Amino acid sequence: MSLFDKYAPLQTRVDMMMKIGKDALGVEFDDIIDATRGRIGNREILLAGTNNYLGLTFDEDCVAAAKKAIDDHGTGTTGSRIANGTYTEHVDLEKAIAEHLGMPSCIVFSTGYQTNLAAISGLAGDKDVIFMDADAHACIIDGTRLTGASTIRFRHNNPEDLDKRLKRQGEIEGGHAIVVIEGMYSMFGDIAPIDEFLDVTHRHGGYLYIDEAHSYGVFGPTGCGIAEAQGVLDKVDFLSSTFSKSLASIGGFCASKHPEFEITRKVMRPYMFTASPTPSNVSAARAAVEKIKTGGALRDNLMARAKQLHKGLADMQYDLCADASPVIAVRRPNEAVAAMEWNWLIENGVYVNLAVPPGTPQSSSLLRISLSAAHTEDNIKTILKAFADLKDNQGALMAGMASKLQAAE
Amino acid sequence: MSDLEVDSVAVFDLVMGLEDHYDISIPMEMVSDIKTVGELTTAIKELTSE
Repeated sequence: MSLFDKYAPLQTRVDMMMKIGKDALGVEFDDIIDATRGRIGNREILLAGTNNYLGLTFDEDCVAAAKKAIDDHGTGTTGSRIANGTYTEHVDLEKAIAEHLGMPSCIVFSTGYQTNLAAISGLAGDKDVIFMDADAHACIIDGTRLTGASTIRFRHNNPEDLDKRLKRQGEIEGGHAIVVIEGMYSMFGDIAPIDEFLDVTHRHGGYLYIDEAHSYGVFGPTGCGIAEAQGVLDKVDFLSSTFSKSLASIGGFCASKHPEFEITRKVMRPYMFTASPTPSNVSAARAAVEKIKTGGALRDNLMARAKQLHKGLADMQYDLCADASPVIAVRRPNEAVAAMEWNWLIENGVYVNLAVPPGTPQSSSLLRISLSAAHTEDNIKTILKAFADLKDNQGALMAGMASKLQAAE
Repeated sequence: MSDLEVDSVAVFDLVMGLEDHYDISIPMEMVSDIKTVGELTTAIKELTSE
């Protein structure tokens, strides 16, 4: 018996994937050329699965801000804000985001994952009850596990089902309901009816927490996200997001309309016991916030590309998981087929995500595409051509898979 | 839920259905401790008798 025996079933799955081709969960790029282009060996790859929604990773101003921060304040903070103190960059970014959202409090974190881990564990006490959307991201699930609060799942994007579960729970003695949803869901790209969730949550005296990781910067007239797009931003209790998608850096934030949120800085373990984000990461995000505020043209291009791709794939009879949005997920019959097709796509110069259970809703196997404002109309045509060829070559592909699996036996 | 050989998401989806059928709340932290169908039955019996 070895320590790793428990991973034998997982190893079998990975082995199968490697027989078919590359490790889809560990692709190595030899170069990242710009927001939409990478290189593996001699082949240039069109990046269509990197959540780089606004294409700001190589933006002149964001790059310059990051470089200046390194010159001014060094490469790292070497510790947390409770131990090493707060940098001017941290304060500037917190103020800028709070002002952008029109909220009195904003706290920044070192990664997006840690943001939800920290904020949820900081907000929920032992007597509170968390109501979580069934398709919530892993960092929300893990955040609930850091609390002593009970956690109840409700059916995905279904305010009526939440209402039923809140009623079933009844009065929460000595505690409150905290409802956690996302703005746009990362796997299917479907969007929450935040206005309806606010009604239900507040009717039951609860607090609404929204993770806008995939929607901050991407939706709303000034890029505040889905809540702004639906005209209800001022009613949202807590809004979290990441710096690693539209903001093209790394880190995250949680903002609140409740000024008392500030007290959680003294209790959130993933905030207190990890190094604070570096001056360069924070400054790149700060520059990106300005881009977002005036990023109407970027968002228009992103949505135009999303509609172009969605229509093209729908016309080819691909089974798509939601309406047109910057995330477009193509449902495939099973993991092996999806893995084979994913390999075929990257060999033909298009990088998308292979998404498989348990990381996906409804145990689905997906080819997940995320678009960028930096994508051109021609880039979308390239993706569509690849998916058309994929369909045309289906017979040869499956025969190829069978022979590869046989050869490996 | 090793008995049924289903993944974690499928288990939680099954739990939502059971919650509705019996009109009870089965919190996620309770589900994490349940490994067999027998344990699930026991938990539901306890929750419905409350």
